[in-house]
Amino acid sequence: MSNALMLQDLFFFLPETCLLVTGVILLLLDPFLPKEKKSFLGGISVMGILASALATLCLWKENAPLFGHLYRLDPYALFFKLIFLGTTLFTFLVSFRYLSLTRLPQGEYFALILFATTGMMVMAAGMDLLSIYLGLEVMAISSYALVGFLKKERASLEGALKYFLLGAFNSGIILYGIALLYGTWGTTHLSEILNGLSRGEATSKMFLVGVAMLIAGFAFKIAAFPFHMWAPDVYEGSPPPVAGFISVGSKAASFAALLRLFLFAFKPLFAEWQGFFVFLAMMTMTVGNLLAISQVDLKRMLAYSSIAHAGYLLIGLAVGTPFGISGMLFYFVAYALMNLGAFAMIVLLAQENFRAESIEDFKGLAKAHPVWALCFLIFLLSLAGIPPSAGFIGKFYLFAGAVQSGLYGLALVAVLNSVVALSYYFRIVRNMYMMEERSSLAPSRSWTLRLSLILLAFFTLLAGLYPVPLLETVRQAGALFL
Amino acid sequence: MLTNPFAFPILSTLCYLPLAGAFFIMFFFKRSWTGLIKVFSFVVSLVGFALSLLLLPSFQAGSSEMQFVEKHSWIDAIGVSYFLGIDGISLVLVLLTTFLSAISVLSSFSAVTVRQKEYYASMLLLETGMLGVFMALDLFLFYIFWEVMLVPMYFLIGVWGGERRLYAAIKFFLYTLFGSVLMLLGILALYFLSAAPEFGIGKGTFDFLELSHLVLPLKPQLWLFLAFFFAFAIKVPMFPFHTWLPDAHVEAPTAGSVLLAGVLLKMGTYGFLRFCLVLFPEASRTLSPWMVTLAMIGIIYGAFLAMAQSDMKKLIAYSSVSHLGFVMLGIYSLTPQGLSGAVLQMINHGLSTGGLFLIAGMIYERRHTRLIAEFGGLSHKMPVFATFFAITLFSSIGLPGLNGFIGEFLILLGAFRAKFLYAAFAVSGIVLGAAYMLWLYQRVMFGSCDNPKNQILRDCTLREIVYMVPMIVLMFWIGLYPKPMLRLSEASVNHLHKIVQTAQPLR
Repeated sequence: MSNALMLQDLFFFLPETCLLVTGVILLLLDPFLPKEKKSFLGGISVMGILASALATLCLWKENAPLFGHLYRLDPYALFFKLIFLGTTLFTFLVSFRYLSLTRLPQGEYFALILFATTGMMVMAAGMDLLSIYLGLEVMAISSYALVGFLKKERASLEGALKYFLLGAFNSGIILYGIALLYGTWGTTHLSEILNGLSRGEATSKMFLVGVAMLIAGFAFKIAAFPFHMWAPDVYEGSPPPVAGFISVGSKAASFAALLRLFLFAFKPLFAEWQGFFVFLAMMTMTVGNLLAISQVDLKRMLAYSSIAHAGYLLIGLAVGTPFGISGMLFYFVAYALMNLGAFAMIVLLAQENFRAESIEDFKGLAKAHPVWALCFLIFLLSLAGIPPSAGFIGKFYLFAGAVQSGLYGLALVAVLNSVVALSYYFRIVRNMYMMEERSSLAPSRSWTLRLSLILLAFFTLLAGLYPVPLLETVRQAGALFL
Repeated sequence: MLTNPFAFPILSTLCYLPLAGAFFIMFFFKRSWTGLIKVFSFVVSLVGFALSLLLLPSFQAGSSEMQFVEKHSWIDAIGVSYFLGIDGISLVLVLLTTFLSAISVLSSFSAVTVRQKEYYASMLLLETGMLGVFMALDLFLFYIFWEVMLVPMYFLIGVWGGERRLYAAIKFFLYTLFGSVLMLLGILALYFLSAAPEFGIGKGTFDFLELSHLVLPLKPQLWLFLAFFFAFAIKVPMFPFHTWLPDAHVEAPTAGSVLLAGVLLKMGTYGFLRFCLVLFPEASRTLSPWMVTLAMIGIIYGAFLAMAQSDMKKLIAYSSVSHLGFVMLGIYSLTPQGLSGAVLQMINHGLSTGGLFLIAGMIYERRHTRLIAEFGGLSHKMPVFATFFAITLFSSIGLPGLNGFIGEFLILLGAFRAKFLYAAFAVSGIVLGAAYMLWLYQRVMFGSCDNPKNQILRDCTLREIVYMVPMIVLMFWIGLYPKPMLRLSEASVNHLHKIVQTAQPLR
């Protein structure tokens, strides 16, 4: 490989590099900063994200392989990179206040999130099973540490340990699956697998077992049935901004890789695994929604709701048509906006000795603080898929995909699930608007947190009212699979 | 399709004026400025009514075309457009909506004492949603208005309602949402059928006017009819989907009940008229005996339930089930008389049942109870009130000379032409209706005024008279001279009838 090419590769890798470098700077700087100047670190991390976003935008419309085809820069990967960067940015803006409140070490916190984001980016852009695995591990290991960040709390430690043990086991399964695929094809590269499959080379049992292991592994990552059990405990234990970050980022990254695997590399076998994903989608959304109904802890409720949302997203994978893929990609944006917003609401009401983590804690919010209640209302309406919100447009596309492919049963289960979902989302609305205030609520004064809530609510509505630009973007990003 | 003769988009202005008002109240008014908030929201709703009256002179009643049309591209990629327009049927419902909204706002001045800012904002928001439903001609847009409207109604019931308001509010929301999401599937299926070349369009669209050219075989028509049926039948509500209604009506504040009965229920019947008949004519013909059967069960069962109630509002709520049964009977008699009777009866029911809820609200404001047994002999204490009550009640029963008579007569005529048996059953509903209503009046108004709490009741205030008089005037006007009202929707109704009776399915 010539030097010029290497240079271009490095240039194309700039978004990831920005994050890595920022993370390293944070770690180096942290020990030397006096306590009162730690907030400086937050500024640096936001700069790092903005630099990375700038680099990503500059590379928009590029489409080229990197690092000897291990990696690919295409609109699809860039689209996901922007989602991850947005998620991380909002997570940071929400976290500042929370970190000073809980006196958590800021340097490591920001650095770990940045490393996790890098891992997600690698997953979305990986064109080889091994590079995807590499990204997945970087993301996973940073997340384990982030979940256990509240070192003094049993729930946090329990969540982290659970996540770590199950995650490590899961990584083993994925790796074993990869090994079996390598045994079959003698390659781990997605394009070569695709070529082999399209030439109609016989699929051996070993290959199918390998694919099954990959499905199981990624189903764990996206918290799909029957590998969803970890999510509630992990979300409950982790600091709320981290829970929001993991529920959005980790899920989107795993879906990004899953889509590349099943709608690109294994596309010739589409008909064979379609039924399986239909089943997985139905079960995941139903189980998630039914279990969410009885939750009183808001983070657990959001965990089950995020399982249900994974179910809706799986529709896109199960249909694999332009409608389904656009819907899925659109839904990632919608899901990021509304879910980050919901978790940010927990942070907004958190006080030094009071965690607004039960849905009871939101009683009477509308009377005392109507603006924040309205923001939460918008997130909840969007989560429930009531128009005009981003969540509605996303669901509309996904359901349209199911109807178009003639999967009426799936579509029916999905719409009925949205009715079930409304019943628990609206328990929060009821508490906010129709109940008397129980304890004194004091929303945080952090302007970054307030700004991000307003922005998230605004974009949730905007994407519902005028989704055209975003729909055009997801069409370009999804063009790869058509 | 007739373009908008005004220099400005009149339908959009009308539709979003209340929304703008709601925003203004939310963001610029202080919580404590209750007087200003009341006057402002009344003025906004009054201007809305005036704007809707402005439609009348330029409306071409002889045409069944969509008028005042506004069409703009919205989500081009999937053929969604921002498409508003009204024909005769929607016009009368738009008028009803703006009229009842103004009345409801006025009726709330003393009834609502807490969180008034949010209350009036919700009322105006609800008006926007209702108007949008009657104006939207793009199914995607229609669905959005259809759902959006649930949110303010949920709040009206849940925040300002009675004792079991929380239960009633979520029950209302879940029931209607259940129907709506099935309709969403129907809309999606319709979209993909319109994209298939063999059914006459060949390009995916949500445009109602284009979709009305869709020619489908009977079987998909039946399935699609079923998908839309749930949404509309729950809203109407038809037997056996009526169980949410008594709860919602009883718990809602007076103005909420007025709009719920007066306008929201009409969305269901409007949906059948506008979408089910036109898009699935063959299915409508095939299923009409079933629909009529459900309607007749509703008429009679609703009447019996009403008779057994001890709560005034619950009685009126069940009477709605019975009356809406009449409207459904008129629609699915599939005769011109039945259809125009149904359209007229939609307006009549809005006036008479809306009026009855206002009456019940007046009593409740004075006594804080709605139990019929608590009252008796009120006519001596409140003569003006007794007059209003009597006229509204007779309008609801269908006494000749009042509006209800014309509507019921036309529906019976239509039903009779369709099948003798239909009319025979329906007439028994009218008799039962007279029975429970008159019995209600007797128990509340006549006899001796024994209960000491009733001795001190005051007669109607000036404000109450101001909002009851226009209702009464309209009841008499439609009852004595229904022609102008019928003429507004005549062309559209005949057009509808022609479509249903002549359309042939794809063989």
